[in-house]
Amino acid sequence: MSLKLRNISWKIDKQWIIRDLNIDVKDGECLAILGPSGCGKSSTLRIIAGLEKANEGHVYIDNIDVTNTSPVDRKVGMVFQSYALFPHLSIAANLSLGLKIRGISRKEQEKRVSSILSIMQLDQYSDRLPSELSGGQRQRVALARALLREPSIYLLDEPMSNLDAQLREELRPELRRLVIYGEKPVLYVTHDQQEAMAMADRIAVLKNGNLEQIGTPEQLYKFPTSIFVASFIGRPQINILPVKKGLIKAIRPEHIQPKDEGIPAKVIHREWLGLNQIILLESSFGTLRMSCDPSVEIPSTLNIYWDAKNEHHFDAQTKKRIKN
Amino acid sequence: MRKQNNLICLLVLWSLLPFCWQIYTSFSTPESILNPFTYQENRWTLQNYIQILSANPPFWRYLYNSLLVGLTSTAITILIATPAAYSLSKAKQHLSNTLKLLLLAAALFPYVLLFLSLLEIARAIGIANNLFALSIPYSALSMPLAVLLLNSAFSDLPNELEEAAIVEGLGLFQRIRWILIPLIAPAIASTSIIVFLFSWNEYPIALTWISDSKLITLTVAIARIAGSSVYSVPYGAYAAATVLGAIPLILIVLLFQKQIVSGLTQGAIKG
Repeated sequence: MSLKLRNISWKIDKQWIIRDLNIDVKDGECLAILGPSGCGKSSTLRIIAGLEKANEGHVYIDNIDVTNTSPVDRKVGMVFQSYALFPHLSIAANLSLGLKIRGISRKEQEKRVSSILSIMQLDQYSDRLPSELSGGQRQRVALARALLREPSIYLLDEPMSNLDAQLREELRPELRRLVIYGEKPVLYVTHDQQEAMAMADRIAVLKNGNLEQIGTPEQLYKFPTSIFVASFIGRPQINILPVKKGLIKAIRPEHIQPKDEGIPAKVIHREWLGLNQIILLESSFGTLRMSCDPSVEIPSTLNIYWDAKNEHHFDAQTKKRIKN
Repeated sequence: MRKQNNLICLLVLWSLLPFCWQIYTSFSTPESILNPFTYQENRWTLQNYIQILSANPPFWRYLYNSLLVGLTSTAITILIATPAAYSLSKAKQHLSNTLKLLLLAAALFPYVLLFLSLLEIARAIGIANNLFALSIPYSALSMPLAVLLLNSAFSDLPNELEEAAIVEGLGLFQRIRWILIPLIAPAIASTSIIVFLFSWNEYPIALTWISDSKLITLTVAIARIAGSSVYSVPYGAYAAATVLGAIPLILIVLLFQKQIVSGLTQGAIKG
């Protein structure tokens, strides 16, 4: 176990940002920290890096308690949301600065920088300034800098949020490959559930500084432990049905099917997306989202049906999952 | 557009005409100064320059004195103000706001009110008639403004830059050396020039602290030239002295104009 967070709590003034957080990440494992803004996900990363100090709890990197270690000595490789490249230094100088500080010989510096530049396909940019690079290139430089740090752990804070959607998808496998190449634990902070599911081996969902659920993308999708996780994971969003006898049922859009006999519903909106089509329905259960094959012809009124075994049940009071 | 250009021309004339007049006067004979619009045979002369440069001590000596005082005051100010501004930018909001308000009050305080007491202090500790001692009050008086200017430069730097340097393993002094100083260099340049200018132009303290005629600074020397004769004002020599005194400043501003402009407008536009 290469990263352990034990009972981490952190507050600003009197407001708890993170409450009693416990997380383990193995070598070579990528854990996404997912949650809405203000849930404490970036703060968690900053506490691991040592940029903030937790009020309670301990951080272990490689089984060493680093809770009171200065961030300068922690050996974390961090990619910031803004990339935080040094604007006055060339790409090569950005990358070699850390090596120089650590007393690595000039020859060795050049060797390592040029090898990482070619891995990142940035060879021809070594003399450019960060401002002369595109967003995707800057992101790769930031990642290269983190890799050159030879850290015990990688921390990526929304590394793709400044890139456009297409570039994001292109870079995902690349980032994934480089991160695995590092063979170290990777923490990946994002608010994008799709990105989290695409990148991570496991996902930790945070809400108001509390860990809602941690597990593989599949576990989170199939067995969400709370309504919050159920609605946060999966697009189109899960349908939350009205409360009945202290029970909240939820059903994923792809589990709703048109059927000859069933619940009558009226189509109020449809999105044909090529891969599937999303139908917004008005029914006795309120508005429902249905996702089905794009070739299916949907009349403006229809009957729908779903298998009860696909329902998720939650307690109306605690919003937590009930075994069903 | 044309209207704007006219306005700019007017402004340039407004600020440059007196200086041009000064240059014109410095090359004129006493007769032509008194009758600028009548024709004269030998109206141009170098006599004014020759006179002040061959005086005892020659005029360049005062330039040298002022330069010396200016450089030492600037160096002392920047060396102290930079770390002060950095720590101020790291202080808690409440504390830093209070301190900045106090600094602003100090920067706006009319220092002329202090010069008598400063003179008393200089006498008491025996540093009168010492050129380098002048840089003590000069740097002290420029300090509040310098700290404020540099602080705003530090505060404008995105926090993530320094944090990136921290996780890269750079200690405090390494961050200052490799990241912070290079990034606020324009602000340091413009602040240096403001401090240097203050020292170059300062008169009351220079007048009262220094009496040895070999050690007086430019401003005092120019005043002495102007008041050297009971019966006349030597306009020509006076003008020549001011022209010579302005040349180093013009050179500095021309040399650093890019840094000065980018320093003064730093933070106005986010890059």
